[in-house]
Amino acid sequence: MSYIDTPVPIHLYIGLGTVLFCIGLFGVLARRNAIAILMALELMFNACNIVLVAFCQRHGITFTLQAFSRAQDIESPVGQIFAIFVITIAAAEAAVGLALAIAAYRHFKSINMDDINLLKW
Amino acid sequence: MSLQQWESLGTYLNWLFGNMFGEAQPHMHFWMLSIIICVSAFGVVTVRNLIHAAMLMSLTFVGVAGIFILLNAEFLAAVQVFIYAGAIVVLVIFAIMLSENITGKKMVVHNRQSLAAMTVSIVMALTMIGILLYDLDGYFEGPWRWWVTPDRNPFPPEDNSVMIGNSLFSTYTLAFWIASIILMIAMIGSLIIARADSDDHETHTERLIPNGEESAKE
Repeated sequence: MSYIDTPVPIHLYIGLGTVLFCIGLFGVLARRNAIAILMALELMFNACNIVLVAFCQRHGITFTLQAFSRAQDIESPVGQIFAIFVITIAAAEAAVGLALAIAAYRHFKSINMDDINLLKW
Repeated sequence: MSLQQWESLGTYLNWLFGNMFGEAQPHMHFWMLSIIICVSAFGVVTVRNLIHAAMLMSLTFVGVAGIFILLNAEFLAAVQVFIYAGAIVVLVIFAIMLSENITGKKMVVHNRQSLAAMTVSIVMALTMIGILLYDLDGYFEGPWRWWVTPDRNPFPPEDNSVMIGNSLFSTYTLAFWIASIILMIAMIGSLIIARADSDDHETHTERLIPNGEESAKE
């Protein structure tokens, strides 16, 4: 049994992505600090990226043949492109979110999410 | 349970975990990376000190980059290491240090762990040197095979970054432009949001006025 003959089955990647996503979800729901919540959000983005790239590696060619007539011969990197855009948006989100956290800290002298309830009700 | 049920259970477990319990273990890299990712991600959401959480998050991102390499996405792995493990972790650490009473205590800067740090870096250096020498000489043969061999061809024939570049600048050009505009908006917006308050701004401009003018104004 050589290594090339037995690639890792895709449901293992999906399971890893699910576990990572749920860990991040737990962090978003359970943490009280704004920066910690942002860090857990980054974990969730990474879980999405893992699943996207895994599906791209298994099913990318089929998707390309169905969707785009010009790119018939190449192996399609659609999922990897999606992952690149997810990374881009995550970087923008991290910048804006951390700026918001710093502004909230400057205003409320705290970034405990329980203290920031001006917009509640 | 009968023997047949046990056998079918074993077959199911082998399918579910990718022949994890068989004699040949083809997915060792995947399992090691998964354990690293899950343990450090769990640390991110549970550890009290936020600096430690940021370090564990960096470890998680490096593990995800390894998963990308297993999936033949080398360009994405490099992007992951640069942007996530480099830029975003540094950004988070800056934000933590800008609001210093997060953990309730002052930030400790002095170093009591120099021995442990030295041990870790020396072991890391020996490991990397060993792997490099080993690959140059033996080309993935020998007793360390299970450790250094990825489960695919380590040098894929087609270049992943060429593929991504072709498709990013032909099929997905519009999305590329929109992403760049979004990045610029996010940059300007975060600068405006994180700027000092208007009170601080006024005091800053007052400080810039020379003394004679200020006294004349008063």
